[in-house]
Amino acid sequence: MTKRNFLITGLIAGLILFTSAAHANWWPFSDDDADAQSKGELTLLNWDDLIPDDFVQPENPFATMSQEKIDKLMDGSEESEAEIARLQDAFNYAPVVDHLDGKRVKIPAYITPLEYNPDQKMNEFLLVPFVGACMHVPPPPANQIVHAKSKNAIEQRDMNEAVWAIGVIRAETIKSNLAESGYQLEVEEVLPYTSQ
Amino acid sequence: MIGIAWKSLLNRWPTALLAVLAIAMSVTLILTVEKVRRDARSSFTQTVSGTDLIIGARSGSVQLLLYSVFRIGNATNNISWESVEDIKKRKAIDWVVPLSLGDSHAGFRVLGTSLDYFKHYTYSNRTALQLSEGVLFDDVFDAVLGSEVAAELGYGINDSIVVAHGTGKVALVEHDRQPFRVSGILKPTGTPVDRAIHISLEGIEAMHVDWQNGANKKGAGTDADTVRNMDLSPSAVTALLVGLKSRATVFREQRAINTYRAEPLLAILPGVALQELWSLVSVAEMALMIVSVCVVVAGLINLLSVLLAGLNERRREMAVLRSAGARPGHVFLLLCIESAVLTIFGIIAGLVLHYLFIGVGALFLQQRFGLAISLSLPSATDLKILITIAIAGLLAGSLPALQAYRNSLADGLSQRL
Repeated sequence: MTKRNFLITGLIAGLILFTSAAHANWWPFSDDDADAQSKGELTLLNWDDLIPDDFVQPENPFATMSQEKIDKLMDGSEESEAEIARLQDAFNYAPVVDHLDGKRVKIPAYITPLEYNPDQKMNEFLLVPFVGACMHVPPPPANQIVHAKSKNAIEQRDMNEAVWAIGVIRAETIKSNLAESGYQLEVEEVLPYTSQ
Repeated sequence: MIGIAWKSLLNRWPTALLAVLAIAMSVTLILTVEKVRRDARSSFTQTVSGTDLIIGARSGSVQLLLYSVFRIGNATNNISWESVEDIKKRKAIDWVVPLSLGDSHAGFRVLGTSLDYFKHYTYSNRTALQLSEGVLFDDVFDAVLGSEVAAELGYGINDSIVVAHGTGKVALVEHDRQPFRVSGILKPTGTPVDRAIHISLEGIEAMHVDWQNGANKKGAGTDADTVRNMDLSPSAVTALLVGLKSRATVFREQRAINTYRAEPLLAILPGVALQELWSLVSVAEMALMIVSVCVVVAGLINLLSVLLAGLNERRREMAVLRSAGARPGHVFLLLCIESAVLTIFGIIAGLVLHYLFIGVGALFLQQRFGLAISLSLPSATDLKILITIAIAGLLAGSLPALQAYRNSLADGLSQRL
């Protein structure tokens, strides 16, 4: 009888071990918190914080323009095209907050997937303050988009679910024609959103 | 003890076998559904990589994604070449790859594109396309075959192929006056690229030279050299793959193209469109999963009924065991072991069947839908499912075991049968 009891206990113990071992694989957040804490102070960021305090959003130049002027701009000549491009650039101008550069931040955001790896996870994505509703208003300006890259692939179940993104933010001011200013985030962790 | 359980089961092998089969079928079903779901998703996601925007005629985002990259369904309209030139001029745009669809060869889609396609189109974590033999297209009448096209139709370098109008399986109307020559064959990718025939945009124009008012002109047609000397610059393409200099500008570029004045166009972010696709199919996936779970439950109920029904017939067996010195606890254990053996055999048989199914079905799915389903070890989710089934089997077995335990206490040897 003892032998059999032993056998059964063994079986059950084996099962439990097996389940928990398999479980360890399913659980993606196995980072210990102590490690994350040592990386520096965490600043809680709002999307407003990403716009410089002294910055006034330029008004839409077309809103105040006379219809005559607009018609002239739309004539398709090279001159007008250049003028439209200039106005567009001025309107799109969205400076970043330089002193945020290099800070370890925590920001609530929605994830827009850019690219998936074969396991349906992402290493590169955009963080934005809202999701959907793209048709009625212009897209968010450059300083309201954070280009995030993560070494650990992130899984996203639902685009409509907000997250907390934690990582080191980079604010880049580039004054060239090819690229524009913007924020990058080296992602440490992405957590489900909880109101705090 | 296990020996006794085993022999007892062998003695009643028809019912035992049926119970095992019922569990095996349910395990096969649930594993296969899960596997196809996962691999179909990863097969789709692997197909687009490194592309920031896909542009096409205005329709739905999922539809544009499906016809441009996965070659499922058809385009609603083309993009005029003037718009393509306009889009190319935008300063945020790094590269543009034109795609021209609509013709086929033996059921395989013909894709008209530029050499940029081979430079910029990547799949699965930015893997570029590679030639296994030959060279990329150079002449108007050159074609580069996907690996599966070459394998299935047995084509080699320099073979000549005739492209058919439309996308039907059998070519009733062929562009046979201007045959194409196979210049290169691509390495397998596990994406719809394997099932495509790539020719230049000029090639697409060339084979439609004699094509007027929607029908082939009667007569011998224009010979290849005359066609080569004609103006073959494309007038329209079906879709564009676009790469941006900075990915953060993707929303603005998308907006600019969606509000493009000269022509109604649609720009989509492939990742977002994929998400939309998943949310569409997740309802069907959920339904399939619920059915599979129900089948598993049915299999377990069957196991339970086999064991319970057997109890009455086996009163004598139990009595003999008791008289041979077995305690009531032994009887309990015996039945537990029986159900465990049945469940485990069911799971093993189910796994074997599952792999057989995948092995046979993968070929069909690959040929019919271009979905790459691979044989692989059970995933963590699969293990979770199997363990749950095993535990459920054991629990189901403990009910009749308890019953047998009670019986053996009450009955003794004096029972009347």
